[in-house]
Amino acid sequence: MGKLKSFTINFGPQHPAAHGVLRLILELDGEVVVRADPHVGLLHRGTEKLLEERNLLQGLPYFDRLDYVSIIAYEHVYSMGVENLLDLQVSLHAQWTRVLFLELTRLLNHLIAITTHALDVGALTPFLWGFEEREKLIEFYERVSGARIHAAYIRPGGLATPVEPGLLQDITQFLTQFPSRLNEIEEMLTNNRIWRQRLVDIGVVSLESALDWGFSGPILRGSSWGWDLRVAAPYETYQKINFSVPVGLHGDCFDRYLVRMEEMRQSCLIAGAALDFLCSNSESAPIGLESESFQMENLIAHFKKFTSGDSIRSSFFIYSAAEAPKGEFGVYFVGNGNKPWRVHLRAPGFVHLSALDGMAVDHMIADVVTLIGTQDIVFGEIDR
Amino acid sequence: MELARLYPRWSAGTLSGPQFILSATQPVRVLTLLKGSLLHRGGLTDLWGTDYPGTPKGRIQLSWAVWSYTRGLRYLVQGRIKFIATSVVHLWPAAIWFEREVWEMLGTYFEGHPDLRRLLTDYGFNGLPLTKDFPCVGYTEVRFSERAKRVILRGVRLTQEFRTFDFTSPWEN
Repeated sequence: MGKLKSFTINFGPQHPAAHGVLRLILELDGEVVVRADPHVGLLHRGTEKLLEERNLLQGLPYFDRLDYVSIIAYEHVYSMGVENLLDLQVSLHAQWTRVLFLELTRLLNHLIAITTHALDVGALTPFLWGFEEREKLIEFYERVSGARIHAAYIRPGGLATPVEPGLLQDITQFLTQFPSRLNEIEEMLTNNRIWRQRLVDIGVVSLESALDWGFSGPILRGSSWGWDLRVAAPYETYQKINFSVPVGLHGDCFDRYLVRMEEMRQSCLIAGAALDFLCSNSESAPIGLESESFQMENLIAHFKKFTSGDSIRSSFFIYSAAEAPKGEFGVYFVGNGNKPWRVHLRAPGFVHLSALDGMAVDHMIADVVTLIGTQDIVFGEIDR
Repeated sequence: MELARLYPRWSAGTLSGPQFILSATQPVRVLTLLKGSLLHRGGLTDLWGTDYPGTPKGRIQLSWAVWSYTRGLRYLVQGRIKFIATSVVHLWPAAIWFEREVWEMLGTYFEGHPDLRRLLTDYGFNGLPLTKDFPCVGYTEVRFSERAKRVILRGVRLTQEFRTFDFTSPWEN
């Protein structure tokens, strides 16, 4: 018999479990992974370079296209950065509306994270149920911004449009039935033998290595470190809301699944708190155009602001970060007149994927699919 | 477990942006010091480069963002580099991809990095996209060639002139 040699296979970029355009080069010893080398960049659009050519308002829609599963969370970080840069105050009503939609976005993201993960592992049903709920959430997006996916709803300084009361009522209705949908998904998965066999003790990340790899979000929390920027560095109105941050104990794929499930329940609570505020307090001043802007001079001023944008002092920079559903998303800005000199985006998925090699070594080839699922990979943000 | 109850101090203030900005001539020394003592528990969350052409101190400014999770502080260490930097992979493995990205986007070489390869750009891509002398539209584009029956590279041909509008007015700043 000849000597057994490890061989190399291509996983992706057309593999449905690769969650987009991941080309993963796997070096295998039999069925065991020796090395996993992700080749990324197939969706690289040069967002950072493009943003250098845009003024502050024009830059916003690019953030929708980063993580196209949790859209509003990313434009929120950008808006927050611009607000810090220009020292803008956002009205309380707009802040609560932001919190409401940020949490709906978290549901949107975790639904796709968990259900496509289950789909990759072999459970189709939660995927179908989850997408039913996602469709409702996407309709809320559509009703509030006119776009199903690329909302561009949170804008620097506030929101694109105020929320109408009818929508608030429908979101309340959605939130009352949503936890029982979560229960249904959990009934299918949590104690399912196959699901547990595929997830428990797979891809264990110790706390030390999670910190060394720079993990954030549910993956870090799955490794028993309760770090959540909504609590650690609160923004908008998160300080006023009472919610808890779920933490895993073992750092395996199953714990990360449980953390995401619990985060969805907590998101329902937070969204409920936001609804309480929004339903009992009506907005006094309109969010977008002031009514007197229909006078000629104001229209001119408004037009000028929209076309040329605000001026940023050169070499003035800001790093703004928030807890996106996938982890910490950060935007770094250096000013240079009305366009930024440099924009840097810190994508959580990029950091997580860079550790895939460390997570996948000594696992079976079938577990690679589980690991990609648990990392909740979306290429829009990784490739930027 | 509830974080706010465990660490009540954390939820007291708001952090908008980095708490500590350290400009260093030898940033890696500062980072080693941070890792050894100040951070306690934390890690490198980000590393990026900014291009400032024509700066005598060094053209590329590198920024390392380091979170201390126990203290709830972010340190931003910045330093100027003349195209060769020291790698921090031995401190935090997270730096592997960050440094690969900086290397391919800005051309900064990291001494001690185990494998500096392309990351986000196309296989065989030429140029440093995030440097200021690289145009936004680039130099080449890919298209399918009917004659060669494969995807080929050719110089950029724009059907419409690339437009940038400069709105800065000469009499007001």
